[in-house]
Amino acid sequence: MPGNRFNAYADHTVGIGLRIPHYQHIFSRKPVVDWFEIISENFMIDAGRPLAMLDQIMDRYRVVQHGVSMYFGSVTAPDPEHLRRLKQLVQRTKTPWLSDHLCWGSVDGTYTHDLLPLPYTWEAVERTVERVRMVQDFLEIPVAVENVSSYAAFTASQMTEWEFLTEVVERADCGILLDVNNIYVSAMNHEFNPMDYVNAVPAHRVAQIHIAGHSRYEKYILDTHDHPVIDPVWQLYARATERCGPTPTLLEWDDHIPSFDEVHAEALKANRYLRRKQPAQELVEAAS
Amino acid sequence: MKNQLNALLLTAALAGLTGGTTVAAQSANSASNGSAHFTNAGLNFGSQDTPAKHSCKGKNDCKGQGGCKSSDQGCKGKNTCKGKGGCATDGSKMPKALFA
Amino acid sequence: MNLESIQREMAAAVMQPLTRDENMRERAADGRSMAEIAESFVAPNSRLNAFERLEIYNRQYWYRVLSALAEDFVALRAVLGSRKFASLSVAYLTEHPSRSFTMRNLGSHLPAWLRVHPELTGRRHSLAVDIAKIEWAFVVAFDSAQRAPLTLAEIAALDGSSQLSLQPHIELMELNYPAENLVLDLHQREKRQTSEAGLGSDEEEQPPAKLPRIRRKPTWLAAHRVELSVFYLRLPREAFLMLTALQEGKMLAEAMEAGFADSRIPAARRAAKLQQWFKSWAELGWICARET
Repeated sequence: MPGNRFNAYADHTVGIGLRIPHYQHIFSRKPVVDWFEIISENFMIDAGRPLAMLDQIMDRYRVVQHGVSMYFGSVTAPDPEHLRRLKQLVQRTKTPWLSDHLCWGSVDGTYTHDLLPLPYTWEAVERTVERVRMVQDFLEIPVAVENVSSYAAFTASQMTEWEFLTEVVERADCGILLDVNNIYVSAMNHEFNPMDYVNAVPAHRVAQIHIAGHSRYEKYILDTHDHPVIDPVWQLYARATERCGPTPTLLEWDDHIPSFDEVHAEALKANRYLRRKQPAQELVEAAS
Repeated sequence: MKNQLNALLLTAALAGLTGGTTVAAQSANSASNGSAHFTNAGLNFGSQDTPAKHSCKGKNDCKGQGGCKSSDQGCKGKNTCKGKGGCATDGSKMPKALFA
Repeated sequence: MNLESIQREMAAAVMQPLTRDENMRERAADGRSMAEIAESFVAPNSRLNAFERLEIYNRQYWYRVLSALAEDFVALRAVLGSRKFASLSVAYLTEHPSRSFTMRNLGSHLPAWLRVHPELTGRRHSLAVDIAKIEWAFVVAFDSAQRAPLTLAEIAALDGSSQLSLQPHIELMELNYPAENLVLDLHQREKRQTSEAGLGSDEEEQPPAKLPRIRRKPTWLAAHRVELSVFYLRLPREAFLMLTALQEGKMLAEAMEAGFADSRIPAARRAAKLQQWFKSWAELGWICARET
């Protein structure tokens, strides 16, 4: 893996999300896994079993942090206690890069604990850029922002989601965690072509890729992380790796979690695309 | 008299602290690796993992029913799924894939 | 509409309680039409109108916070039954929405809030409050900080005016029922049912659990952590009062006085009791120097 400055030139290949139902398997069988992604908020505590388990994992495996409550797009300032605890965890895990979502979720100190979509406006670009820069400066490691699955769009939007993402990452000079399942979910919910999104993303900024499964309802798709990755999402992944080159890739599985082996096997399907010879022409162009 | 009584109590408390701290230190150094601590700790609720609170999944309104796979007959009969359109049986009600 | 207005309006809509049928309400708390509110900032698509799209987030919010709260109050849910627990959870979270980046703290106000809402628990109110205290104490004891206990050198320097503190993971409780065994039983029962019925059993309506006879009896309890396990330790009333005073920052002599105020322990036996308690607390590493 060549890596880039947005993932600290990491050589990470395919990883899976660290989930409690797999602890026993991991500790007893010690499977070969390239890396685990942890949800930062589950470990931003003072002490106790979660941190002890994490320390044991880190004795053997590489860990990358992924957050769910930084809310880069929230208008109210982040909680200093949140930032303090996050930095403490960054120092503990030595995560080479850190990701969180391009969304908002709290207002006036009240938290929805959801990843709420932003209106794609210039005002939102400015607010978000400011927050990403501040967090990146504070944490002193590369930060990547992840595109979210969304179920609502805003009348105020002035651009497409991929234009919004591009504006934010270029101005904040940060990386992208490209979730190709989220692109698919949002494309179905907002009736756009997901391949247009993948083709428009600034490929040289992609630090990491997420893959996952979802649930389809009659009138919308929900990003439930409780199924295998479907073929159309693998097609988006194939195109993303074609554009970005081999990129650290992570499978998220958060509900009805099957055995460790099943989850890991699903993740390793990504190697079908990662091991192909990649011209990564666009990266060469971006670098020149 | 009261002062004497208080001094006696303070001496007892400090003696207790000293004794307990010594026992803890010995126990920590011994092969039992502190297991003596458990004998007077009370009712053990165990060292189980509590469920992790945070993830970035969307919350399913048909939780516990395996989601809605293409072969499902929807999430019928559950209060939590009432009025939400259930699951598509074959995805045909979604727009056709928009791949170029 | 600017970003701030959209976020305030959307947060209010998303956090508004659902109807009985788990739909978004037709009217906001201030009487405005939710359809009009939704249309003011949410765009429809070919399958869903603005109201329906906002409703997805409204449902998702409640499913997420309600399940997070239920995970921490398994025994309370069992004692009240799932229906009553759900209504009280909605009422609680409406009054105390999350003010923290972590859902770990969702239930922090529940014991105190429940105490002043007997109308939501029915005849098992007092027991329900005790159970909520015991379950919240588990959350605190499970992952709160562990500080270095007092060293022999620090103990040698103590006198009656010394201020000490307790381990941050210690939660002291004054209860009306000796309910910790019941809570443990209910947790184990829930665990068995989940593993037997598989995932999803939590979605079915659970009537209030049949409980063994439990007599009201003043009980003083400490939840604490040893290594990685949470324990519940019964305390004599005097010990509870003393530890509470120490936790509040009272001087050692004051704490001892507070402990023995109105005590039935004969004066002649108090020194021996004190020595025994402090020895036990020191063995457990409970007593720390006051943080400066």
